[in-house]
Amino acid sequence: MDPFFFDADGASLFGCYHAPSSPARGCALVLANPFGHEYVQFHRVFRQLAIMLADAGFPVLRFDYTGTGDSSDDYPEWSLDRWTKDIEAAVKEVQQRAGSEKTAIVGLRLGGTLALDVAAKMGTVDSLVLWDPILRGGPHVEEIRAGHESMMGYAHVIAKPDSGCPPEVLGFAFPDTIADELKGIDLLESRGEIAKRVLVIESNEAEPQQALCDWIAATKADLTYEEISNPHLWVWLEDFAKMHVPRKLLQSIVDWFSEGYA
Amino acid sequence: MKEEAVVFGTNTDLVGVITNPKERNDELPAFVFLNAGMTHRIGPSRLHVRFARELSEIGHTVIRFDFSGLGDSSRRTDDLPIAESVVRETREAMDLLEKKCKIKRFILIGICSGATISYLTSKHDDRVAGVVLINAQSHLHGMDTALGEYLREQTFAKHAWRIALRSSFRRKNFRKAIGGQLNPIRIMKMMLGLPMSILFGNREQGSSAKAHDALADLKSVLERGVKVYHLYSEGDEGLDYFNLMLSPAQQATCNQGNSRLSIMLGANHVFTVLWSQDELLKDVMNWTREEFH
Repeated sequence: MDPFFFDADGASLFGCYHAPSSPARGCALVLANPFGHEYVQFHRVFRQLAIMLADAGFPVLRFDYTGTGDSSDDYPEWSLDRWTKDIEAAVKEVQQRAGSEKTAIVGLRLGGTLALDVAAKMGTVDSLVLWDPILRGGPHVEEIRAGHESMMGYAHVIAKPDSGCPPEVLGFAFPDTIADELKGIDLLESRGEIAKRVLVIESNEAEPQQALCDWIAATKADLTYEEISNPHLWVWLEDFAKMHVPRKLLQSIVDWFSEGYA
Repeated sequence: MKEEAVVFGTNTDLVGVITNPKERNDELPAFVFLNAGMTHRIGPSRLHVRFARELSEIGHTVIRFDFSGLGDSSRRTDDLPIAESVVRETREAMDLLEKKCKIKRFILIGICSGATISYLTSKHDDRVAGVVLINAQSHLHGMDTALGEYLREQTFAKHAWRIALRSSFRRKNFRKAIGGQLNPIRIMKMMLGLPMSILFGNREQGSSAKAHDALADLKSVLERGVKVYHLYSEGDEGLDYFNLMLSPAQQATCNQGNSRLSIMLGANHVFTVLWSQDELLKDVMNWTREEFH
């Protein structure tokens, strides 16, 4: 694994490149992170996924969006447009490193939502994995704000409304600019072709992905839908030692890629 | 400020990020950030990244890295017990900065387990000039696991009583109780733990805990010239551990000379709320300026 920084339109993004450890298959992969506390909780999960995919012969790039993780900047620079461009830059970076023309994106939660946008925009993404993507931003914003209120109710914390801090959710700033952008998400808006192969993973039945599957089925994409129940994966945890890696779910992603690029 | 990714370690690949100040002051020690529990090197709510960048603004070089088996770092290939591997890997992070940047003095900083490891490492390495122990727990009683288990039970019980009766969260607790949000059996079990252990507890461990001189332990570090900053959140169990290990009179000595103690009211274990993150940053920056500039 090779950790490094790469440039994306002036931002310095942190990435980890996993070279394939078995004979390389003809597709390079980018992993697109979720956002906020979900990113922190899923960091090790994505690392494990990258290792499993590299062991199966896929070059993989994990990276942090502008203003998140180890990358440069902070919340004032957050925007969905910026992060979409970051994924595009990561796709170019992994193509260059792996010497592969075909690329695929695996996106989790907000990463899935952004990955679909990138695939529609670039038109060259061969495969796409959408793992519990956020379909509609309005309910998502309500959900994370409700999660924050709930945490404020039971955790050993005291609110200080006059502290001068920006609006916040579950440990991170949540400025109105990003909240408004998130509210505008409607993944079922028409976008045209997205990718040749698409895998949709639903791990939480409270957020069904059927509407997305219907929408994708109407495009020319070869759609696979997997329901693997892991409903509490992204619930905020104060006791972060309880995070776990959903091995079965990760293996299903590796198997799907291995079948597609035998 | 410029950041670079590094891979180091003698037994395994440890991954880290060095934050280099625009203008390095060779007199200043470098900071080494240690993992908080299982969270990778960015820290809870990305706190370590924010701290590293602020500290680099005042001239400090900073490394944040993942212990083996955490974050981006690989597992070790030897059988070294974790209590030894974390100290060894912390020292390897210092070796890296010494070799790469010619820095010879270090400040170790961590939350929860990161604080404990900071303290333990300071006992083994003369290069440690300071430790920032944020919500440290289990650092003042050595490596006796049986004693550790006994102290852990005592800490839980003390914590439940303090939070219920003597904390800023009393009103909130009352609302939670009215709203049925508390598990009364769990609370009772925790609170009864203290009187039950006094009456029927393991007397051998109790005597062992009483006999253990935590202040002497702390003084042994201070006498070596290490500046020690204990910083606790009001909502954290670490504060109850600290109260268990050091009497009020002994704690008074923790605010003298090289030692500093502060308690942040209304904050939780991982400083989830933004105002508490700002306060923590301010406290650490002030301590750094006062002690090392």
